[in-house]
Amino acid sequence: MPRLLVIDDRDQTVEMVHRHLPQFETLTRCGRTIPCQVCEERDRGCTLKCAHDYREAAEALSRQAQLPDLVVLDLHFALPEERLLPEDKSQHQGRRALEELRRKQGLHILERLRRDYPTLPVVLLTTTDADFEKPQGPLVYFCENEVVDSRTLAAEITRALDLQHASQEGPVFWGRGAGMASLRRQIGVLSRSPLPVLIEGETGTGKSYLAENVLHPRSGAKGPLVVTDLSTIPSTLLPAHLFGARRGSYTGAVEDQPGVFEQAHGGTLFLDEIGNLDLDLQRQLLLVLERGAVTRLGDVRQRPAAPRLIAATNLDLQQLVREGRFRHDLYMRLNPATRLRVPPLRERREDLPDLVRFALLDALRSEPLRPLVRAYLARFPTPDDFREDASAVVIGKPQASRARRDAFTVFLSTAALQRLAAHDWPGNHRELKLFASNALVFALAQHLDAAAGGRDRAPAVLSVPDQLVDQLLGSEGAPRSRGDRRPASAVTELGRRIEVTVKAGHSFADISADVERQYLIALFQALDGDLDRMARELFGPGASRRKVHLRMNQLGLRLRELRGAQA
Amino acid sequence: MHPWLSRLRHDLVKRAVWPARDLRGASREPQPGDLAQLQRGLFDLRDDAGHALPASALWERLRAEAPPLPAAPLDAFGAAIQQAERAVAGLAGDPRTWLAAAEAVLRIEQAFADLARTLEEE
Repeated sequence: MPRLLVIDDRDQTVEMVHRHLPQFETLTRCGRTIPCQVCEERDRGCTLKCAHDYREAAEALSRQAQLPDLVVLDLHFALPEERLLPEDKSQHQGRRALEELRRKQGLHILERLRRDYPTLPVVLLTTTDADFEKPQGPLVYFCENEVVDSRTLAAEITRALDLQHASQEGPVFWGRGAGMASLRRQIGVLSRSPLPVLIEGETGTGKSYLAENVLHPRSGAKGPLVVTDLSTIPSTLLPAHLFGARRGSYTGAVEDQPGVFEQAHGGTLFLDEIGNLDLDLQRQLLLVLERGAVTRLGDVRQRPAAPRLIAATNLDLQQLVREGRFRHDLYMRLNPATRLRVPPLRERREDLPDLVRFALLDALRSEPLRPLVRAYLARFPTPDDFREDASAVVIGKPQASRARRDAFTVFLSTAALQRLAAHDWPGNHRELKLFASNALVFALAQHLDAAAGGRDRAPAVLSVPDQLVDQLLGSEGAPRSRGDRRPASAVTELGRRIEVTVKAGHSFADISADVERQYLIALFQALDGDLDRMARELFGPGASRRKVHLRMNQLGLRLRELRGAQA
Repeated sequence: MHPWLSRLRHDLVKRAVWPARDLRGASREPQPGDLAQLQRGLFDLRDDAGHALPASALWERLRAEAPPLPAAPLDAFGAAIQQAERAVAGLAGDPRTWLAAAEAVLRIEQAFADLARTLEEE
């Protein structure tokens, strides 16, 4: 049942919700577990049914381990001056200014809620003729109908909750941005068609996750899903891997081996990093796609191989076609007209609070963190009814006083959230996931270390300090313009020299990654972006450009950007 | 909307009309709680300091602060409140008159619309 917090200077709204809208549960300030409808205090003038100003709202929210699903906030608050926001009223002197403050008090409360509880959705009850500029924000919904009956209120609450829930569907948090909404619409159509799908997106944006968890399950295909990352298979083994091999067709082929095309027949074949395929394999791939049949290496018999193809790349295939490094006919076969673009995290800043929350909760439940979590639970006396599923992430305002002790409550400050939102996330979800795991590991370890000094009570809130967030984001986190990746470096005939700025407090891993990143950029510039030469220089004669590309991806370096910066 | 009208709507009209609308729109016979809400909407309003007072007393205060307006729409609004109060007070003796009482309260909304129109024209 959705939980609401009503913030209104009068009890009427909450009373009407109690009376006519049993589909909602309201959060009260009394701390009782019984609903107001059956409370004996109800008709005795109880004043704890809703929050009448911001102070009461903050007090009610601070008691909750989990925030309500929605806040219903009135616009007009007829309250004495001292109960109005802002606390400093030097800008609101005089009767008229005070009246104006009352009429628009809801906006001040909304601003404070956004600051202290950035993940909390709010329905602001206003009117069509309200004379103010609407605050923008993904979690703010406006009820523009004048609410003078419970049916209208129920409709507006339901609409806001529906919009809120629409951002999450199945395993994917679609969020509220235009890019993800467009992707979602396209997937809705394409997942039902047998046509090939091409997914483009930077490294770590979740292309394979979408293919495996959304596109394939929704396709209705009876056959299996076979996943192949073309960047991780040595080029000499790729033909056999893709098309299969007969026993003895090459050294080491000790038995007949079906390729992934055959294995995925009747199902879905997901080819990740298709842009890394060399031209000869591209030709063979095209033939298989056109014939719907494959011939294993060393064999003459054709076997059926007609999977639905989903291909993904973090490269600009169109650009590769122009450069003659990707076959135009294969590109056309991949159905580029309907290609899907997965937006990077820096284009989803409005979703970041939720994405951070999900990442932290996922990390908390992940296998790699189990030993540390177990150590934490063993160190501190935890109740028998510890409920891992009730763990929560609170962003904005610490709620230590009433945080539940039967679950984890992870806390991040508003400043930390702002820092995270300003970060460019070159590694996208992969980087965010790593950040979440690191943050929890360090936070748990710090709490355990502190406990070694004598504390024997588990902290109610597992706080991720701002300083730790800064350290984990490292130099990449410092806001700077895109394309501003040129390091202070020099490449001379005598050797390569790069200058690296090392900030105090950075981990050794961060510093190493940064040095490597800057060296790769310097080399890229010195060799005019020739990846083959880079491969030879870095890994020796015969090394594949794919290896360089893979490492650059891992470090969050994007070829498109580097080429753009060069131009 | 003029600030005075906005205050009148917030402090009085909305409080009175909401239970009446719910009552009229309900597809069942009203329960004692519904009638109590209707009564509270008219007789248990609050001023800025949080003191309880009936709609007619609140209207007297608000009328004293009204912007320059012809007396007719102001009088009409005051009359609508008095009629509503009489009708709702009568529920104590005969709850079967709930529909008439609700209709009387809803007429406050019409009187408010007339008042708003006059102020706009002025």
